[in-house]
Amino acid sequence: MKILRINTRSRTYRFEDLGEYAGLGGRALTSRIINREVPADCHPLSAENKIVLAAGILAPTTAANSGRMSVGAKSPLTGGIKESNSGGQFANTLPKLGLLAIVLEDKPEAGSPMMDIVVRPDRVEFHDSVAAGMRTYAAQEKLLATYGKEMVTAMVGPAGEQCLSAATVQFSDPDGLPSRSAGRGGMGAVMGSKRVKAILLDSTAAQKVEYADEEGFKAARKEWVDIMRNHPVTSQGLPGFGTAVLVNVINAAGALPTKNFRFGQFAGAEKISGETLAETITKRGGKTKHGCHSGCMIQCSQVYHDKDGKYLTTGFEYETIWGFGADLMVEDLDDIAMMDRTCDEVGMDTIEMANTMAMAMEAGIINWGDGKAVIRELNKVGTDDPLGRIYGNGTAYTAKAFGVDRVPVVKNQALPAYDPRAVKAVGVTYATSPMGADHTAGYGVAQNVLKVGGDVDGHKKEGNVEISKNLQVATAAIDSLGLCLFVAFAVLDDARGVPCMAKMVETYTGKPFSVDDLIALGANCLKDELDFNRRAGFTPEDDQLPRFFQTETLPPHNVGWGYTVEELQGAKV
Amino acid sequence: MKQGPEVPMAHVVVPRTLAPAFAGLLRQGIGVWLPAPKPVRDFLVEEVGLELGYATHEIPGLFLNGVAVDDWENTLVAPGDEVALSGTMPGLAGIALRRQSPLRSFRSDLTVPFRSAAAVAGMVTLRPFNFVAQQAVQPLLARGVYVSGAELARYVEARADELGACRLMGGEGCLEDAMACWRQVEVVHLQVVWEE
Ligand code: SF4
Repeated sequence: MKILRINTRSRTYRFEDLGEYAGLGGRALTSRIINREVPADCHPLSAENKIVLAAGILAPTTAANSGRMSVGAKSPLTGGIKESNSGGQFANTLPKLGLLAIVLEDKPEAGSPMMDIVVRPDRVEFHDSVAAGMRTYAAQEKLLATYGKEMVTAMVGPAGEQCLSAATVQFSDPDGLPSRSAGRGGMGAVMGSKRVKAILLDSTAAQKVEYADEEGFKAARKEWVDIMRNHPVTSQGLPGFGTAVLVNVINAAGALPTKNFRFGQFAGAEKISGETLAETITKRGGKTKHGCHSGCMIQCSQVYHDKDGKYLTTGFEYETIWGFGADLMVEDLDDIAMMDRTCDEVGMDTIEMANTMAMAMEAGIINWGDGKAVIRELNKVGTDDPLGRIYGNGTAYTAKAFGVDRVPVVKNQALPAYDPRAVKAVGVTYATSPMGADHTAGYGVAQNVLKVGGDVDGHKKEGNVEISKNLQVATAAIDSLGLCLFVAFAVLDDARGVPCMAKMVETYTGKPFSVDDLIALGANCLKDELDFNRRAGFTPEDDQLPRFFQTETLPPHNVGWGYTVEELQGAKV
Repeated sequence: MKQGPEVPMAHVVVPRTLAPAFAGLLRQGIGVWLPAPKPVRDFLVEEVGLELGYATHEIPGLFLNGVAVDDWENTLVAPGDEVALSGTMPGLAGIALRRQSPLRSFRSDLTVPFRSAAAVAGMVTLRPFNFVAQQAVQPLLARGVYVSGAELARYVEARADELGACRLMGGEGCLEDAMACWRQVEVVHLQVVWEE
């Protein structure tokens, strides 16, 4: 496997051996490259920043659910290092071209045209973009019509072209639609700053994958599938209702952030629940099961149709439904689906934009619960409308523009869909992750299985801090393999889960790879990220939740927060 | 059905194929009569009518008045309480919210404290979600539940197209005709005969 390095100023390229990066993949690779090669104090939109699109270590293989994509850079949103994770066909296509990662370097002169980069088996082509200024769905059609329908794409929408901090990189899904987002942290702005509209991979390439121990790999892969088939979350839960099954449950537990984190329950939860979503999809002839990449055997995603039975959106996740629903007090699922589609079209992060719209509501620009107004405001992003420029730079920026003081961000990144006062270890992770507030930075894992850091008592504050640290390590490891977190963490209930992941790596690469190595992969990745952030100027003072979590309790259970800066430092490797 | 309050009856014959259309009614909350406070597990088996094996293995999410229940053998349900039930749940919060989850300390502020309850009878609101609603809809409605007359009328009206084949038991009347009557009463006892 090679790394493809592209100089966006000179429009030249070179293929490099992995060299010092051998053994890494996914998030471990993006974070190592950024930490080694990008000056921590550079401007994120400058020529000194780089953007790395990397497949996971297991992406070249046939391991189920191993096609998640990592996108890394210095983030224009947080000012720190960022890895943003996405589905789509890109990660599984890169290895067919003999590639593990693509690195975009330098940047063209101001005013240079946007470009399309086409990666074919024997060459890389540079073209002035045929889709500059276009929204992603129209751009996708144009790109495929121009370069071939076999192309798999990564692109930015108008938000990325304008270098806005909430901009995503959109990846094409198994149906060829640009519906999958590397959403968090403004990766689209970095790609846009390098004047790259789209990277296209020729999916007809078919470089053979060599397994060091093919029979051993097949056995490990079979076990991996067996674990997933037998676990209730992966066999039943995720395919049944998708991640939105959590809406009713989290609401019942009083942990569903509502009206910009004022309450833990939303009266309209049932109307936007996973169950209502599934019933609506079924009635309208959509799909209740859909994979974000073709190697997914779980299919937690779905295809949502509008009232007329026409395709509206896909990848309609719990976080999006929470953000545009409960947090804004919007009860209309069709409106929320349209907001999701608009974000995909403009190329902006749904979690960041939902919180941004909450700031607009706090400021009285739009009313709480007014879904149509949210759609109207979202459509301003990526246009010449100055308000759109403000919104597109995210929650903290918008709050500042409108004088709002209730701002749910950590390191400038907006909080996701679980109230940290109710689920404490998530709160610790929001506060201390090098990524800024990020739910996927510390997703659930049975720490008694992983035993990272030994046995801890989570009923004590320091216990939850320790658990959060373990989870952050495990998450970084799984992101580095390219596995889907929803699947990987669910199956950690099964004692075979972690050794099986290590076994797949070992049999594929032929190098010894134990559970300890897996944990070291995650821990070293976090060390890279923390080292970068320290050099970028972050201090322990940045590892805090916003003040209102300290001063307000969360109804209905009236739970508070109460961790000090010093206590939280224990969650860092 | 144990002795409950004297309320108007809504006895309905429904084709079994329409059972999924009633899952949403369950999710909104239905009333179950509780003769006296009892542990959550016993409530589910004896009053709701779930099989113990099913409740043990298929309902990892158990919430009493919005807080997760771990010790279901000793945590009491009393009249006026709300019990929510969920099948398997993904993600960190999903794992943490399971009964007896290895990560239950994540939500240590959201765990039911021990309490005693006066020995009185009354109604408990039951809210089965997701798979539990789908799987329990037939046995629960066959056994009979209490629902707000206005809610029931609203629910059926909103699905008039789907539920056209339902009819009142022992009569020719269709459901829609009964709506005007149910809408006036606070609570009705809804019981369904599932028709092949
Ligand atoms: S389970 Fe969901 S998030 Fe995971 S790979 Fe499949 S579709 Fe993507």
